[in-house]
Amino acid sequence: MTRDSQQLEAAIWSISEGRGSDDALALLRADEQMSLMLLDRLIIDAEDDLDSVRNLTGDERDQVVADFTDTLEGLRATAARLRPPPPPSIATTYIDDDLPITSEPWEPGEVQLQASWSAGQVVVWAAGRGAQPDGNDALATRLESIGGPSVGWQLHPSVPLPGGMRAEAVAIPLEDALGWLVAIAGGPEHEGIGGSVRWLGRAALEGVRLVASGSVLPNLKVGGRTENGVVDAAVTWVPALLDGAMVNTFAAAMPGAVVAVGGGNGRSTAIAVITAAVEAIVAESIERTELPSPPPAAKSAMDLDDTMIARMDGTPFRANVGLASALSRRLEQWSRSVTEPTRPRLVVQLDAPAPGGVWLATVSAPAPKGALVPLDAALRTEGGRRTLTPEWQRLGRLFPAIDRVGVSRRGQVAMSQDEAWEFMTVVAPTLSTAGFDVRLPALSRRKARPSLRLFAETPANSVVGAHQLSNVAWTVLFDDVELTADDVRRLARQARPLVQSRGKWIEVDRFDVQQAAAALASRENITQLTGAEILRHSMGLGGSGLAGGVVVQGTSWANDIVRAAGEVSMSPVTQPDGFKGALRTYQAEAVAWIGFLDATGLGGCLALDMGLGKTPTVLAHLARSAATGKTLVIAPAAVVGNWAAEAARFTPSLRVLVHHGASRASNGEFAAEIASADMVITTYATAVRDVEALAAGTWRTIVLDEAQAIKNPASDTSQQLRRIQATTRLALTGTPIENGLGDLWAILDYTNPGLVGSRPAFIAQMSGDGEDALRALNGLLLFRRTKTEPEVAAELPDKIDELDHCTMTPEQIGLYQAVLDDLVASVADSAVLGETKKGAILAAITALKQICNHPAAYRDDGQPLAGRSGKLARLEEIVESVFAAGERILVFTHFATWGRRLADHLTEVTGLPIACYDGSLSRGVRDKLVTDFQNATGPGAMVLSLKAGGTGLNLTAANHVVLYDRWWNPAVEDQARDRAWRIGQSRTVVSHRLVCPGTIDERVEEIVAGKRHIANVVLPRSSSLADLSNDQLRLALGLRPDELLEEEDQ
Amino acid sequence: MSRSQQQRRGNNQGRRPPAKKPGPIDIWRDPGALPDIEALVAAGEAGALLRSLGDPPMHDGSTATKYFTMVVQRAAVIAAALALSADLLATSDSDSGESR
Repeated sequence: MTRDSQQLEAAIWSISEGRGSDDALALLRADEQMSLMLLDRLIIDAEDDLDSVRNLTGDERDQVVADFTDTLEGLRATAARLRPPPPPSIATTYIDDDLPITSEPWEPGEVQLQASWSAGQVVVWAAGRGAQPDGNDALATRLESIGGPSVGWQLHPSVPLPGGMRAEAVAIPLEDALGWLVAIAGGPEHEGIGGSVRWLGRAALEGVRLVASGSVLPNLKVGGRTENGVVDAAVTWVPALLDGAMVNTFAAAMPGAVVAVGGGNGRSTAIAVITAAVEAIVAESIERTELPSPPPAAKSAMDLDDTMIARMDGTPFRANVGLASALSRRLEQWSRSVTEPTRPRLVVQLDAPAPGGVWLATVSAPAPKGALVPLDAALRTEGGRRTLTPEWQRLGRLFPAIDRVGVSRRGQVAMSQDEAWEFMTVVAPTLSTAGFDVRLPALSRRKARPSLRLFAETPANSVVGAHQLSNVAWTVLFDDVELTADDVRRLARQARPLVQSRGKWIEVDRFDVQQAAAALASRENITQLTGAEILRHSMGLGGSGLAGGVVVQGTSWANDIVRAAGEVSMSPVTQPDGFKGALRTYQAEAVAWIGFLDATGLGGCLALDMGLGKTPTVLAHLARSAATGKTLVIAPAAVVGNWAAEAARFTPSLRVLVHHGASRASNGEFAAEIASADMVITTYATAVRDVEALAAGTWRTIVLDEAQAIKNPASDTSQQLRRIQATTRLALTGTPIENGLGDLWAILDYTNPGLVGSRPAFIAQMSGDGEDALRALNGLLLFRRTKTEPEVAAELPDKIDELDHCTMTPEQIGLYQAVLDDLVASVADSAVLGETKKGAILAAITALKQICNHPAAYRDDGQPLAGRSGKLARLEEIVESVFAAGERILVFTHFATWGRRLADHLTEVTGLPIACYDGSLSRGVRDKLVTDFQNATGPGAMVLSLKAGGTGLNLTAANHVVLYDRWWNPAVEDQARDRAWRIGQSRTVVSHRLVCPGTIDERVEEIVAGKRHIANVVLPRSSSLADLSNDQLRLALGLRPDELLEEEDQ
Repeated sequence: MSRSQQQRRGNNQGRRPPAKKPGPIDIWRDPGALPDIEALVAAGEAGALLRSLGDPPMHDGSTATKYFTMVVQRAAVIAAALALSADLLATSDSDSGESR
């Protein structure tokens, strides 16, 4: 003990014995922490002494007990003077003859579960101040309701309460309640559970904490009663490294109910509970450990040692009193340095290296007032030598390097970087576990991620653009640590390279260092890059060989581009001028992004998922940029009508021209035709055919809708469309990587020719799956949003209806015309009258609808289906997109036979088994189809006949519905769509309606849309079908060439 | 004064007041919550404390150490499991601030 602590102890004794001066109290208060630690140790000693002397017999017993009680009270009173006073007592009663309990006015309280500590048992009862306590039945119910232990309880004498009431109680050994108590301690505050239960749980948890860190030691307890030189002995397990301050905190926070049964003070109760928890866990451990058999008797020292090992579970045994007492003392001395509450805690500190790269570990000893003194100096004092030597020896066993040969001062050792890392990661945690105070430079176990840093500097007055030349410098970043080539070479020579990042030391992977050195070496001579090359690097397309890719910094055209792209999401265009409608958040951001492309002269790919509204998004941009130039939209024929309709709806001020069909302007007329247009819409086929005229135009923007049409860069369509120049090329697709990264390259190479490099290099650099590539490019050359993103899904409606206009192939048109001609011829005969004529017309209507579906739907000739129907081609496109997104789709038709053909065809095209649900199947088969469809995940489809599958089924696994053909009654279609859009559906359902414009199909659409009544379709004036003239029949059912989308236009 | 007390106090000779009964207990006293729980950290080497003390003073200390360590390590695993079941076991943190 140091001189300071000796002075403090003397002051404590003087005050506790009533002779202390103000100076003595001032001395204690000057170093309150140390004083309280000393007091705590003395109080524990006094409590132990008191417990011991109570076992005495003889005349002096009462006097001795009184002496020790007096001592204990004095010490407690001294501690109370140093600590804040406890809250005032409210109610007091007597719990037994010796324990008075006070009583003052109070408000009735809630009945809560309470727990008291009594001789290793948890006594549980339920009561509240002034409230009727629970009886045993209610207590059992209460325990069950809060998940208390189901076994192990025993009835316990009732607990006396203030006011004369008594609470019935049950008790359980701590070992049976440990899991429950720990769960209570770690769980949230629970209504009905009193503070005493939580306190016991928390105390038990401290025992668990000690065991978890290995702070538990064996001891030998020797009984006091000897017989013929033999004594009862037993192994006990005691907690070590018990934190005195923690025990004090527990003592101060102990609810009164904890000691309502067994009495005791906060400190002793806390220690008792902690010790009991330690013993319970160690007992469990010993149960699982195979121990050697004990010798027959512990008469010799060797036998005693062997018996102690064999009886580690605490089973009592008899031993020679002298040997047992000696072993008990030796064990107590062996463990004393870690079981004493006031043990000095050595501080081991590792300092960051000096410029020479040497790390220094130093050991210090605690001194009064929180100061530290070098260990070497502390060990030179008598007190220090006595108190610190055991700890110094302990430290040496765990950290031998601290005392190795060549160390000039005790407690100070220089270490290499390798040793320092070993110390930080291995030795230091062990020292902390063993109770040393270890102080390290901040350390990160996170692996530093290397990246290549490209720093660009652009000379003033250089031409801004993709060809701008910038001076570049290359370095490597390990997280935020920048290293030059020299630094990396130096690091590569170290056995365990460390760098300091954000104030923390990080180990750097040697392989990464070697890669970094190679990356820098290979770029040593690259000192200038064009803007396009820098931009390619910033998108990760330049390659680096390092895990973190390339970080582009500095000033250049490319840097400005990247910076501007980063700011897009912060300035969404929510209300563009000239746009009539509301944009969702992601659409507003997309409009800002298209504006960024427009401003920088770059092209891009708008890759919103199907159904997210690409068309209105582009229209919103065009509405606000119409004054800057014309826009050419090239789209599949199926969606040309949709573009025109949406433009009329959202941007009525835009002057829109649809350029397709036989009646479109010739190449010579084209310039005049588009002179007054803001937006020209055409099909891919027409654009290729009229490419000379289109290429001669001046376009601000070209929009390719369904841009997967150009995924084959060698195709004629791709080659021809590249001839049409524009400031900005915008490609729209929901599936930018439908068949892999090659698709994405084709699209980006179209929108920004040459910028993304060659196809093989692009695919090679975009490592990982396609989605990784989309993430890398997102926001710059690509704007990607999917329905699965929560913030996108949150804004989507439950269902989206899309109308797809489909083409007619020459075969369909010919067949359609032939059927119509036959009808006209058959009903031209005046002999055919009334119902016969009506029947013929209705049959023809059905036939024409089947022809719109597919020639084979009208008359199955057994030939393959592919390439013979515009509707089928569109369906294949939709299914391909849905499958690419990993989603599932339902296809409804009201022609069951055609449905089965369709299912077979889709199976063949997609390679996935696709069934047809129709009325010809048995109930069991149909049920299985539904179950299989619902249980499957990933891409999938099912074809259903509208009649059999249109109602009653639950097919929420699908979130896409195609209404392949139309039914006269819109309610029937709604019911079909509702197979997917119903309770249980968590995603937006996209419904596609396929229609062939200019045919009977479109007239059905008009009915469904409510524009015309059914009779008006076939009857210009409401009358009878039989009244129709030939001309009227042709008008009602015939093809309308100006509206028809012919397959050659595709 | 007993001999043990005299030994403890050395030369300090104090006046002893008469023994008192224990202080009153307020059964409904609830001084308030304990500090927030810190998650338990499972020791990397639960036998570190034992190792630091060296072999116990027994005739075959190394054998005793082996058994003691076995028990302590198993107990540490059980304690960690208890903490885990109460969601109180610290997950490994990749970073550590400067430890003080």
